[in-house]
Amino acid sequence: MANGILLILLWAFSLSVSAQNITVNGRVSDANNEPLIGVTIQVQGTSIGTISDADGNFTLINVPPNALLEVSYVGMKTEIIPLNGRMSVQVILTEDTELLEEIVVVGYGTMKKSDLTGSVENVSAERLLDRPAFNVAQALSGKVSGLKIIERSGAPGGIPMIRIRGTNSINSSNDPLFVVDDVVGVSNALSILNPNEIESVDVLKDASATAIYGARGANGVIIITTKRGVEGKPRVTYDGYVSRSYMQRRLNVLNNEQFFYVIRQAYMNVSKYATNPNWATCYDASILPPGKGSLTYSEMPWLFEKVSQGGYSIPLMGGDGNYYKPRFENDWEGETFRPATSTNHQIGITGGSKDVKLGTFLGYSNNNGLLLNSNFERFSGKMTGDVKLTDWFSINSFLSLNRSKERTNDVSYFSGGMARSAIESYPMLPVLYPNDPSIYGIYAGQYGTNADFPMGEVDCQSPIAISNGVETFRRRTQVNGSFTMNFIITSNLTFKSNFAMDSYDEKYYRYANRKVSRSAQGAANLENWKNYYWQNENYFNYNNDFGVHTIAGLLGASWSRYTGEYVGTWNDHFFDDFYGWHNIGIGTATRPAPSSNDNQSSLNSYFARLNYDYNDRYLFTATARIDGSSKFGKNNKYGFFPSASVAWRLSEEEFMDNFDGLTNAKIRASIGQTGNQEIGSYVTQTFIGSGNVPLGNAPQPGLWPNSVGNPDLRWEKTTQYDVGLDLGFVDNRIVLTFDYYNKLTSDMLLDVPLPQSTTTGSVRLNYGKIRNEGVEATLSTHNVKQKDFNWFSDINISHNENTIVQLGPTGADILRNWWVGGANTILREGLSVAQFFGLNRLGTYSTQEASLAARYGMLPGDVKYEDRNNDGRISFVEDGIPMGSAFPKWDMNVNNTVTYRNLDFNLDIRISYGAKKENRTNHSSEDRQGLANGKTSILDAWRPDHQNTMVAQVRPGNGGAYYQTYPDTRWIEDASFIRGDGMTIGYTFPKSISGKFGASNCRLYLNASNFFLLTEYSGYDPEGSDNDNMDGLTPGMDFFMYPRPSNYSFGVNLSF
Amino acid sequence: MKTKSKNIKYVFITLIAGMLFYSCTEFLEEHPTGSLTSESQVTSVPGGVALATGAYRALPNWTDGGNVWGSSLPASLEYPTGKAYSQYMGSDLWKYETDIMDGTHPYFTSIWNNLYRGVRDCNLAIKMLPEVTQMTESDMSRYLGEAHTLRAFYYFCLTRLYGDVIANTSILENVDEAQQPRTSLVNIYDKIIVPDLEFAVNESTLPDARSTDGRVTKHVARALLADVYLTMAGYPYQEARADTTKQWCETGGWSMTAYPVNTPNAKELLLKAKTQLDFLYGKYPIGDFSDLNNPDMDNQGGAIFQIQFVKGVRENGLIDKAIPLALQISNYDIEAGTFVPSTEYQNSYDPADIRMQERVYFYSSDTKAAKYDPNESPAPKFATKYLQKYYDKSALKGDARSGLNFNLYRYADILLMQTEVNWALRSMGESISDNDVVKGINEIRTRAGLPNFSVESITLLDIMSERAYELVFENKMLWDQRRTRKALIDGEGEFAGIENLVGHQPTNFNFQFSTKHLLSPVSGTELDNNRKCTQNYEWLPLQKGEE
Repeated sequence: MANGILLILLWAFSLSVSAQNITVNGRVSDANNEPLIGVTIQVQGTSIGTISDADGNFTLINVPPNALLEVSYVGMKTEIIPLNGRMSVQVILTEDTELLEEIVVVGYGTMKKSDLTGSVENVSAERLLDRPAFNVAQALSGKVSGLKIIERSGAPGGIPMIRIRGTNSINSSNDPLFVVDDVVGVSNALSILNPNEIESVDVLKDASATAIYGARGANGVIIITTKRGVEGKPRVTYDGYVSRSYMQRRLNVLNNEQFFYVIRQAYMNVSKYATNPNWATCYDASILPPGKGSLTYSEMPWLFEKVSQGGYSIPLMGGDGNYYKPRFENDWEGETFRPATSTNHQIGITGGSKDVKLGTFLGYSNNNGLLLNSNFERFSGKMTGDVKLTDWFSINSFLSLNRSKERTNDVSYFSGGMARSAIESYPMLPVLYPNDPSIYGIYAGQYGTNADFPMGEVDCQSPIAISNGVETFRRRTQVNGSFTMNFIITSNLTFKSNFAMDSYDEKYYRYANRKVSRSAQGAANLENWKNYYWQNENYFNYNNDFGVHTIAGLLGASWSRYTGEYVGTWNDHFFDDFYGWHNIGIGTATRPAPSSNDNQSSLNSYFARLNYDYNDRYLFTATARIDGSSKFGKNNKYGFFPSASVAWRLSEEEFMDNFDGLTNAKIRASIGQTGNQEIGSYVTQTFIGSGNVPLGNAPQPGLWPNSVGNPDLRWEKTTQYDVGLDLGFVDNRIVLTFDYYNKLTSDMLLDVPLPQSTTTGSVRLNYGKIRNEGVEATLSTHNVKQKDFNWFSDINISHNENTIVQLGPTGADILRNWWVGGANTILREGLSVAQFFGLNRLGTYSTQEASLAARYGMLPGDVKYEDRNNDGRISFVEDGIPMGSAFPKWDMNVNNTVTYRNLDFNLDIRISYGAKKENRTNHSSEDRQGLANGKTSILDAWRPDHQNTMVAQVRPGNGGAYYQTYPDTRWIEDASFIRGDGMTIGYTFPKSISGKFGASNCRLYLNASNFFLLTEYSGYDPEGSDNDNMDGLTPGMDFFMYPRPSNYSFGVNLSF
Repeated sequence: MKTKSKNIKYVFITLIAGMLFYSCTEFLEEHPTGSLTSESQVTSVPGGVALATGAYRALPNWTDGGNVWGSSLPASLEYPTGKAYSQYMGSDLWKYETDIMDGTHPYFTSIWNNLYRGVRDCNLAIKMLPEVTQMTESDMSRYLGEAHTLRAFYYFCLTRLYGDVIANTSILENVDEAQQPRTSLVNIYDKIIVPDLEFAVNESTLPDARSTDGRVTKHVARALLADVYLTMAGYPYQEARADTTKQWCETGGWSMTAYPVNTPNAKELLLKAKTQLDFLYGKYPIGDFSDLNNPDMDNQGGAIFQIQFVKGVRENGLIDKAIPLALQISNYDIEAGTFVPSTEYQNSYDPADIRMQERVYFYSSDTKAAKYDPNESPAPKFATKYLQKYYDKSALKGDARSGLNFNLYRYADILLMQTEVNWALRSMGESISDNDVVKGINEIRTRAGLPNFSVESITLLDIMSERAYELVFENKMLWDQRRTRKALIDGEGEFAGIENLVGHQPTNFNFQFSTKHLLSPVSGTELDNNRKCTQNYEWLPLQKGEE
């Protein structure tokens, strides 16, 4: 209140002396005498102010001669210059090295980093965009300790897995809460938000920081602040780059010679391994494909041509007694994945007066994937308007639009998608047969597919044919908007009321042409999801000093509602490919089936925070939130989530004055409870399901029990302790942050399996506990600090240990089936989630071990598994073992930035140690000889003269021979790696040059990302998972993942 | 001026803040859409019919796949008989051949879950139908008759597969009671299956006519009841009923081998079976062989009770499993070759049997499908013969979707049951006419172009062989083996003999059947989630938790 009166007095004073005012000219520069653009120069206590121009110059008119000029600029120390009647001033601003004065965004407000009692990490726009990134996940990856981002694959537009301090929950979401410009819970922030629009990202990790978001805070909170309009002359920036992607690694696939060697050997072994002895006689190893009397090389002129005996390294004898050799040899992997070019453009226009600040931001990206016809295209636009209506009432608003189109790898033909057919297509097939019916018959001019060599799985189609013949894409449109009213009630008390919405629309389009879809004769799908979220949040903020006591308080209430709708339809049997999904009614499918559903959920919350600071030494924060959610049972709608934290700034104590080198020392401790409600709507209900049952040649509606409800369902709770230490040495040129945390999630929203004999199979119960315990450390150093030469390093390390403390009521393991034929991950008390499970493969039975093999009904040459309970039987469940966790033991990121005059250099290295990955690709491409092409590891298979091996003797998948294939230790590989995440060299033109073409700043750069990878993992990439599905708990299940490219970019940053 | 502005400010802020902090309880109420809940009332007639219709939902799952490429649940009912062949290893026939199957396999978990799904659906209909206020009493009785018959069918399959099973005849109110122990199979028959069917046949207002749309009629209930009584007169009911306190399934203490079982109870049951079979005799034509694979003949000819499949709604999943592996004769994306009678089984047919003629019961060549070869030229020669009864031409050569129904009961089965029942009764000293013994089987023989049997010469081998010939791969043989405890020995031109199931070694198996193989393993997931449930003798996995 006192300040307010003072302000008014000053204002009155300035009016009264206006007659004697003067005009002031000045220039603002940095310590190197480079002009500073956009610096705010304000006459203290008045509304008179301006912004410096491209040369750092400014002019102020009507200034009292004895005025105080406040000169401020982001990242620089604010200077107060007394005019003392001067009409010309030179201002030199120095860098603000007080890192501790960094402002961080916390829930419903901001704080000086030095006042923080919790664990919050800030990433600036500069750091976020130090290498080209198409999405926020790529931009953020590796930059925050304890924040793990795993991109599922190299496909453009994928939705990554993200974890803050580990996995808390089994059946509810583990994604953190995203708050973008006060819009709480924005969908798809990681994948479709344009990273170039971001001003800063704050990651809230411990409970004292996240508990203000109560029921949605348990997985951590990521607050994204995007760019807005600023005061000053209109300023235009352009940032753009063009990028070229290449395959980083190749898988080794059998070539023609190796392939024919393998299947010839395989058929020779049919009689050994066919349990059904009659059937061995049906196969003849010398005449292929199998089946006496079936097609042989001589009957397949489209693929084989006659040679003299010995004319081909593998004797391929046809049914006619002549020898043959393949006509073609193809590198399917190279044909399917090709180098691709991507571009990104970003324009920002900002400007405004003191009272009206506007910003317009436009972005366009076109990200082409390595796979033919895979692409992610995004347009983003945002407008911000900040208007001050009176001295006590202002408005902040923005409206943003994001529209993207993701053309995907069509996976409907294979589990594993195109990446699988690239590996499994036979090497002797051409991409396209020459158009000569005299040789190629009906195949002339057609795509080559596995079906042309009819011994494998029937309908494995050419990846090229499908890439060209199937159009599959998703279009996403997201509109975000917010309207915030700010009221200054007194100088200490403000009130904010925010209305915001997030409208998200996703539409899936697919048409497979008549040729590719074959029996469906053209198949079209259209599906549409519409999600709408609105919120209204209202809160008071109070700040006041009472001598050495500083108090800040927050009190608020919030309402929000989420609604979702889905409608989908399909059709097939189109008489012409012209129509496709554009006119889906033209299809003549027997019974095309429309489907739809919708749901709604609501939250009503009350929250409060109190900060108390004694003499900048003792800091105390308490928060509390009450959340009411429609998702929970009648008796448990409301949950209470408190937190408390303290910090002691040792360095402020007098007894620390003697420690010269120590600039800052702070000890933090916090405890708090947060919730998780990320389950579907209506799960507390007992549903009677309905559907159509075929009766009498028509569908009839039927009703049946569909779920077991639980009206007592309540919140999943996570209690977290955090102890932290912040240290700064040598003027904060060395800054160390260390955190230890321990989180226990209890009352988990677990899908508890129930007996199928009496129930529908599961119920949501509050059952089970998971613990995450870990440490995080960040070391930031300014190694060299000179006028022209600076070198900064950032190292962060994090380690998280995850343990299932308690599982369902029976304590039984939960095996999770992600493998044809059996579970391959296990949830077991005492182990971490994301634990692989399978048999222990010891090797293969040697001829000396024939009797041991016989005990298990096996033969020398068969895979030898460990019979752990020694009961003479190999049982997957009884003999299986946990095979390791898909999450690393620790992650480390090393960043180095060097600037020398106008050159800048940045290097990001990411190191991950101790994760396991299941190379399921090998199950398909090592164990199914002849059914498809496979990997060259098959050549290591057991032979009488090569018995010390892990690979069973070859045999054909379709010869009636058995073959043991299970999830086992053979498929588990060490996924530790060292990755060159990014390397950038940039050059900024001196102002004297860039100014000549009107630019205030011009920088060019070259970047290489994912440019090296050291790992023992044998697949494409040690990080990531299947292309078409990523298990929510277990990353690192590689079933023909889409390869991740190396990218090389050239970019420019311009501003005018 | 300033004061006024201040006042406006405070009024404005107070109003807005007051409005926004106001709370209303309705905001958090849930109103689910798109699905009824347990609190919904079903009172209309169509709603009541839908409850009864829901009880049929589990039936079409009979032909589902077994979670592995090329596998199918019907195959899992043929593989353990020792008379099947599979061209593709993925369907896991070899695990039966080497006796390493266990209850964690989807073959056992899926069927267990699906049959209990059917049981629950019936329980809901039986509970809620009486609350359908707008339905007439007569209609209600009819639909209750359907639900009771179907529940009996699901339990009949459950107990034949797994022996003692969990008795569940109500809607679970409290999840704490979800874990239940197994109930003696004797009680499953006596307290659930028989009362359900007796209600349907004797009390309900089900129409006493053939089913024309797959819905249960009294004919269906009668056919099922006959099979139930015939099965109860055999094993394991006749052995287990001697001592219902004994844990037969867990201990495997089975020892009886004689068939027919000569006890007063068995005789009484056979007489009850005879009543139903006599009722059905003559009410159906035996039909043409081609009816079996002709979707136009669904619910006609000799069909009594069929699982209904309709293109575009729900398709028969077995069709592509029964065709040759990857020979490109069909428009299906999968051609699995995993549902094939073994060569030795095929060789045990009389070469003169009309059923062995090309395209009657089997086929051995075909043309390529148009999607691979527009000229539809001949496909490569087959290595064995495949089942014609699942060759739905409109699906194979057309849209790869089959609406062909799957037979659960057809008239030929009734005829063969009738012969068996009368033969058994006569061997126990009942007075049965000669014609009653052989008329059924001889109608089958005549159609197959084979000589008739006389009452003097007919043996169990003849009867069971004829069942094997006529009902090949209709998922009947496993039940026949278990209820008679006899197995046919493969031969040339005829089965070489019939012997005790225990001790029988199928041609391609590497072990002899033991008492273990009289039952299938209980679902591993049930054991995990139901600590009161136990495993059958010698099977894995065992119950690991505390009971």
